[in-house]
Amino acid sequence: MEENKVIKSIIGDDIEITGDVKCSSQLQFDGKLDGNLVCTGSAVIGKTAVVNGNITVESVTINGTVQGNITAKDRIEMKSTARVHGDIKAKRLSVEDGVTFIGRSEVNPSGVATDAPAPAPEVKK
Amino acid sequence: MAKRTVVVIDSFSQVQAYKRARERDAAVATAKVKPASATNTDDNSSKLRTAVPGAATGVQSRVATSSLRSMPASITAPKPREVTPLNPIGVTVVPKKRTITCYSCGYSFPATGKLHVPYCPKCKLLLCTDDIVIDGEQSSNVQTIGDVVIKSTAKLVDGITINGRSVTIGGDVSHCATVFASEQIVLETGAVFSPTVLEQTNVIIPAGAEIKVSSTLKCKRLTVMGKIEGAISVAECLEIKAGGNVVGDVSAPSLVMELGAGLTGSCKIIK
Repeated sequence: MEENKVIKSIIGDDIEITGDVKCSSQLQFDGKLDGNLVCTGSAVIGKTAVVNGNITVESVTINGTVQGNITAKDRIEMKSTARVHGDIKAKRLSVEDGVTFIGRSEVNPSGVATDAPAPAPEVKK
Repeated sequence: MAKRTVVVIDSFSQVQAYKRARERDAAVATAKVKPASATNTDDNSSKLRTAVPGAATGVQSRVATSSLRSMPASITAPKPREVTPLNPIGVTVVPKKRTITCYSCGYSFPATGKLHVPYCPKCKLLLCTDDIVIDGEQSSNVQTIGDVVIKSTAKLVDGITINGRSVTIGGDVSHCATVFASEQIVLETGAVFSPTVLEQTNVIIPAGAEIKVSSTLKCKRLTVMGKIEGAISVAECLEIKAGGNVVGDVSAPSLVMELGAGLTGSCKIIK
């Protein structure tokens, strides 16, 4: 699981950043950002976080507020406290009950289940 | 063969006496044989045959030898049969509780287990409990508290009412006056319906089903495991399971989506 990976960078809830943020490893963002966030690893947007800008990541877990488009190569997870105003594009998306989301979604348009369990191996008699 | 002794009996008392004597002799013979059967070796059998008193008489010797021959080589107690209980011991199985809605007056009442007398407690109507499958032409109203399945070959006359607990739609119901399900409506591939009839019900699109709607599909709760194309407006909760796919504009107060599900279109998820 990606949540178990060591988070190298933590931006606390009392930090406000104006400008773009680039990160190549795991990032936890709890502060306020007026600008884009680009992360080649996975990112966690905390409950107290407010992001006014676009987010481009490998995979992201959103607990806070995002005003902007989110593009993830792998997956986007929206937790129950998430508020997203913007378009999202990802390979996989999971949404919990209680999320506020206004925007356009483009997720798995082929409709093929990517998390389908592997078929059980046949037992030779 | 041992020589048989001939006994002449000419009265009833003699018959009784002879029987008693035979029973006594047989009991003595078996009592002598029983301890030997515990050791049960073939070598002992010849010794035993000679050890039995009165072995010279034909009856006794036959009893002794035949009982020895039938003795098995080793006697083992049969294993007790293992009985596995159907339900775990100490667990009381409680029948499932369900809510029944009267199709006449709309009154809902709870029921547990088998419904012996299917009367509506409010309007005293004897309710139909059958599961109905509509496969051909249907000209009368369908009202039941069981399940209703409408096959693709069904031909429904205009203006009829379909009312059931769970209604599976696989055919054309666009000319029906009302399609109401107290629990859920299941939409199969090939379902043709006017989207407004589903407003008050929970709708399920099972895995493998593909549904296309021309106008906005309105319902109470929608669970998608198959594929649906078209605009959706849900009053309570839209749930998209893994493998499910929604293509179209979505409006709902609550959205639950699993990893592996698809959603393409404009979304308005706000309470």
